[in-house]
Amino acid sequence: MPDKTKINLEVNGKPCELMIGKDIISSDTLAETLRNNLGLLGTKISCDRGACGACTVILNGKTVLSCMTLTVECDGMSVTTIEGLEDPKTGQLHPLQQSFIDHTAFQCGFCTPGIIMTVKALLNENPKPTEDEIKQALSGNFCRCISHYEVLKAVTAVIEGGKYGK
Amino acid sequence: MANNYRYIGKDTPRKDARDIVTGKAQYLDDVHLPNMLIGKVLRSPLPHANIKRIDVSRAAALPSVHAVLTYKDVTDAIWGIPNHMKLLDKKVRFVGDAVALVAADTAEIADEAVELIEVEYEPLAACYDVEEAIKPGQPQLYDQYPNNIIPQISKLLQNVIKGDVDKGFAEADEIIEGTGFYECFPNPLPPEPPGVIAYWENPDKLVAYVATQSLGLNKYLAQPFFRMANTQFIATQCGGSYGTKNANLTPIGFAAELSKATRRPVKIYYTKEEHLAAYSLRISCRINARVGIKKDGTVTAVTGDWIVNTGSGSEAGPHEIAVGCGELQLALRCPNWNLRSKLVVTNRAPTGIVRGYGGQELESSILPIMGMAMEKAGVNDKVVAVIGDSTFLHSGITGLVNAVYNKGQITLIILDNRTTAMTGHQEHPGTGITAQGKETRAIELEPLTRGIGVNNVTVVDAWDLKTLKASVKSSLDSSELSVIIVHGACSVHVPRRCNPRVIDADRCNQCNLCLILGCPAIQKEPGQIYIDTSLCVGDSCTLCQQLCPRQAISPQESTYTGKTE
Repeated sequence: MPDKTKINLEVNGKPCELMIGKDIISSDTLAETLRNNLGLLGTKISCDRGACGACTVILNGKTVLSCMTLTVECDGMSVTTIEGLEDPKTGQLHPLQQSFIDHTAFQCGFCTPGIIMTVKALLNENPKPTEDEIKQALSGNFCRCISHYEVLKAVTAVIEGGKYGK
Repeated sequence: MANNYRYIGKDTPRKDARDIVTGKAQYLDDVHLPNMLIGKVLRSPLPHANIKRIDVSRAAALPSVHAVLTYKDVTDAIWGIPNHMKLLDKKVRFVGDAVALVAADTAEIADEAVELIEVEYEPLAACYDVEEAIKPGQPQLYDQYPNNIIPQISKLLQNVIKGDVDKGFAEADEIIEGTGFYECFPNPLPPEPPGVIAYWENPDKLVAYVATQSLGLNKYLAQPFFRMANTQFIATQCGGSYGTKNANLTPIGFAAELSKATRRPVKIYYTKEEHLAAYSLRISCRINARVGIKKDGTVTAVTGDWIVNTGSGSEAGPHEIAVGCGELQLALRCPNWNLRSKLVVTNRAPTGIVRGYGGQELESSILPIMGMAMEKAGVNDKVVAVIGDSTFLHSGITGLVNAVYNKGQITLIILDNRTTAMTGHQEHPGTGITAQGKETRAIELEPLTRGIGVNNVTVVDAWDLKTLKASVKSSLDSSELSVIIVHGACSVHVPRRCNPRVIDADRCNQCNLCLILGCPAIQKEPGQIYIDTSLCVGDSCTLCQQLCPRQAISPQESTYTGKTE
């Protein structure tokens, strides 16, 4: 039997070990663990029911809704959150983040981390998505202030390169 | 004039932009103070009940629980407009009403403690319907409001009473009575639920972190609640409000009371369920109205009762009514009114401040009655219908087909801006681009309308006022069905060109004609009408210049080139 007393995760490139029953309980969601144990508050919880996409993170390269994922299911996996996008050495923003700023692709910003993570996962898999594919990928991310159009512009600008480069 | 402004006419990056895209922006739930406790609320399962007995001993005995408060322990100050709602009461008035508060080390323990509170209710009959609620013998929500009617506040516009309605009805060709509704209680539901962290720095100073866009209003509303203690409110990043976080008084009150009891900071952060079921909703309402109308469509008198359902409590009901009474007079021109409002409490969830309250509720309610009045009067003036190109292609065309089929004599004006401006500039069948962004055949409106049998079709340029006026006039004079297709870019997409217009104050006699355009650039101040050159689109429009009978409006030479999209 594998060791089920602790969970090993790689979070934004750093290893972390969580003791079940001490650090976390088996019913903790990944969103709760990220926010409450690891202090990664950029991942937002809105509906907490897998409907709104605000809590989206990248787990082993794929987007997941961290409010619908149990931390104990993630043993040995690699998690990327919004905090993992900046260059850790230089502090330089990821081109997506810069493009979201330049296109003001948000109003209140509560859904923005989830949206950026969704797009990041899409571009990792498909560096040149069509507008249709971007829309498809973002169909699970709700934005109540209708910034979707600016989001599309921001993402398109990154795909087209230019000042956002690769 | 060169643009020497530092900010006007220039893009300004959002100050919080970097924090938002890196996840560092601190929303309410991202703020954690040392020694902070989590507060939770026990909510009523019943719509209307007296609390006969409440036993918190098991909850209070739970380790890591620091306070359990009931109506016996908290301030008895009342809030709402007018003041009537207690933070916690001996009585619950809707499913989700607060019964008790718990502060504990963690949310899980607080939830567990909430479960351990024993409450014995004396269930009472509930009323939900606004007209039932005001009848005699109905369940009474508040002792001070007989028949569930909140008395009017005399300083506010609560009724529309003017002119002489008897004379108005005497002049009317037809009189119709009817009932209109706006019965749902929409919930604006921003993504971030309401939340507050509060602590008492000393017994006379309350500090609160609040997720709100209106910090001053929160503070001002909360002040009497805390016996005029000093308050220092700090706004966190606000994850959307849509009006609802203007007051926040229940979460502020809960956090402040728990903090007072525990002498520690307490965070109250609603779950989505609480946000959905127990937080400020938009009002609902019903109107029973009597309308007098002449055969030419002139409305001669409006009387009626506008009955507003504010649920179990009113955060701002009288203000919402005042907005409605004002807006309706803009939407419905009539010299004689006797429209009286009633603000009614029922056992539905309470309503509060929401974006743009009051007007749409009343206007949507009275609109069907006006429709019936016009039908009964057989208003035989030419009906002029205005529709956008996108909506015309989506659903307006069936109406036009029916008008042709039934030999209607309407004038239909299609505002053809080749976009769906209403919902955010989507493509539509007339733009030549599919929703997926591929090129496709654009449906042309002129052959389309001719094709279904409209003989009188004119196409005009929206910015050519003279031709547009002439086309509308000739259509109205003609006895046949006519369509006017008005071409022009959506004002959001109008390229900004140079030469904004300016008003020559010496020539302007302030006839206000240019103000009728509704152009946001044209401003009126006492003794002066002027054009805000940073908002004027200049040569792309020129409507005000065309309209001015005294040639007081002319281009201003400018080096400002602005942003073109």
